[in-house]
Amino acid sequence: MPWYLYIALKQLFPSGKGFSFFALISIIGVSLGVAVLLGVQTIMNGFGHQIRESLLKVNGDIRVESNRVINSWERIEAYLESVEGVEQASPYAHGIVMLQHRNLPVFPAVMGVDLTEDEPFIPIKEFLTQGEFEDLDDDSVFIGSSLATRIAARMGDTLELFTPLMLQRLKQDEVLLPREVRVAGIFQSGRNDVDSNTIMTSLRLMQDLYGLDEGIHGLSVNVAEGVDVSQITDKINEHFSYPIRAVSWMESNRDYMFVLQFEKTMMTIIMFFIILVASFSIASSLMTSVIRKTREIGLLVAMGARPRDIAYSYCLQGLMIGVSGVILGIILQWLVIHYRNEIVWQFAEWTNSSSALLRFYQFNDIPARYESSDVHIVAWGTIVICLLAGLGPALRALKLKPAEALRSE
Amino acid sequence: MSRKAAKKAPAKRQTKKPATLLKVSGVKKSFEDSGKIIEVLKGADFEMPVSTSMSIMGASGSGKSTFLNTLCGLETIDEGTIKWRVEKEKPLQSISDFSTSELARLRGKFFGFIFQSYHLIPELNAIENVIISAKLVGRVSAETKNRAKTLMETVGLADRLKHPVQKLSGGERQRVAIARALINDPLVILADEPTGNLDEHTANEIMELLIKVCNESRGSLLLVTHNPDFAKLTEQEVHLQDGRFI
Ligand SMILES: Nc1ncnc2c1ncn2[C@@H]1O[C@H](COP(=O)(O)OP(=O)(O)OP(=O)(O)O)[C@@H](O)[C@H]1O
Ligand SMILES: [Mg+2]
Repeated sequence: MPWYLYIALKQLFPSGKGFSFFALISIIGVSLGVAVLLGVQTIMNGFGHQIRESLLKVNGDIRVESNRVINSWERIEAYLESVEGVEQASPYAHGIVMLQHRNLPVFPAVMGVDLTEDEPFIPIKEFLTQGEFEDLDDDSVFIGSSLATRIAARMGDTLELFTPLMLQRLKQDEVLLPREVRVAGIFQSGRNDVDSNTIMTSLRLMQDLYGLDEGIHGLSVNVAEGVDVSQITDKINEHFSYPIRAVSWMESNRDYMFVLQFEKTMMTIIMFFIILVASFSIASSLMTSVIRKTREIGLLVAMGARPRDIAYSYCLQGLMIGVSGVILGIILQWLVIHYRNEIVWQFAEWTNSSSALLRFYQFNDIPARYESSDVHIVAWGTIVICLLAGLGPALRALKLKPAEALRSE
Repeated sequence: MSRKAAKKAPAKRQTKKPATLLKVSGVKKSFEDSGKIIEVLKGADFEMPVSTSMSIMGASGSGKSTFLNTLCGLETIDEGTIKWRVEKEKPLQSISDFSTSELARLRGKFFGFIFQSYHLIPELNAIENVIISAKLVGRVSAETKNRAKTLMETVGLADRLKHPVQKLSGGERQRVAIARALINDPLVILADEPTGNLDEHTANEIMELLIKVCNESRGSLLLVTHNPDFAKLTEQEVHLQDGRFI
């Protein structure tokens, strides 16, 4: 071991004492910064991933749409399912209806899905909290959980549906009779905007309500796992001409995705400032140590040390603080993330807020997701910052005149 | 050719006289402090033969410490030359011929240092303080460790090897410093008022030890002291006055 590494180690971990106070405080400071930064990123990634997943589940990977009703869609479906990487293409019709239950009107979005497919493109079976997918027929609907609560609709209740088509008929002095449907299931997708404002019907019922005959509004395409969605979208768009157009889920949720990414970037910048502040305290502690150790530096030079080796010794101290801080920080945040649910519940119990937590957040599980690029950036960024923090004191040690250093008290 | 021969001739006649270990000629050194120039050394000449002991006396502020610093190359000089004989077989070499890192390495091997205020490294225990001096010049082996142990025994601290230096008494600290000064088996031991911080009794003990270990080693002692009794323990005394040796 070169002597400057030895001295650096000894200054941080003196013989007999084990730990110097300075080393302890600095390493704790860095590891807390790293732990908080990584922990927040992991949770943010988790939420981001969850949101992406739910966006995907509700929308499908790609939507093929037109600006008018698509009539001869079987041809399109056949083509889509022939594209390599596509698992399934399902027709749908969507729109808005007025729904009335016990004189309470609401205006939910309707999604009509093809019941002849074995698996609907929306994982409705997964979302259903009451009822069975097989119970859905041309005279029944599934209703979002929040929407059901709002209009006090329960399983088996009868709802009245009014459609824009009926308004046209009303103009022609026809008698307006609503379509009566039964609640066959209640679903919860996890996305509040969907659950509070959506009902699901069979494609047939939706075609009736909107007077589409055999027409549809679009097809939802699901691709196989690991397939590049945008690449397939481009391929589909090459095949069809206006007005038929394919839109990937990333494109249709572009604003949302941007906000997610932006939030994460902002958070990272703020957290890096925290580490920067910690590194300033490391720099100032190391600087104090150089000043405190002026005489020893003089002594080392007298005994044959090259000043640049003394400078290395201080850089190494910064480096060692950085590396041990990063390692400790990663362990710390791993523990916190691993026990995150227990921690939150314990905290809620202490503050008597567990019921509130359940009521408002509706989660039992805080999402977390590691991304190796984040860990790399945080780890290396922190180590470089700590190394730089050691550089200032090192340069000072380099400039010290040994004779004067020996003289100093 | 003839000149060289002429030079050689008188050298041959002096073979009985011991070779020179250190040679300082015409060294001038001044400091500038807030615009005022303080001339400390005004053409100091100094010569130290091998295998001897010398003491430097002089009033406080006369420049004794400054002289030691210039002698070992820690302080630059304004004028003059400083020469070392780093090995017995080698000729005297001017230290201005060495690069900074060469000089540092040589200084570590050639000199042992003992200071008034011990200058031990608080993060290291007693024996580590001795060994570090060997590490600095690139010597690390089990042999070094054994030598350090032997030296600790010599200075009477066999039972304090792993003691934290801050828990040692002043006398014990100076003993550690003496062991440290000897670890590289230097040719010169520079001791700048080594007993200045000690009580009379301890000072006598340390002085006795220092003279003894220097006699036993191959090193020559160069002692700076205010105490005429201690100065008398060395073979030769010089006085620094008005920036010159008299
Ligand atoms: N770096 C410096 N800058 C300015 N003046 C200095 C510097 N170093 C030494 N001096 C001055 O040089 C003079 C000689 O100092 P030095 O320490 O060599 O004296 P000394 O003989 O060792 O004294 P003492 O016996 O008290 O130790 C003093 O007047 C001191 O103030
Ligand atoms: Mg002095």
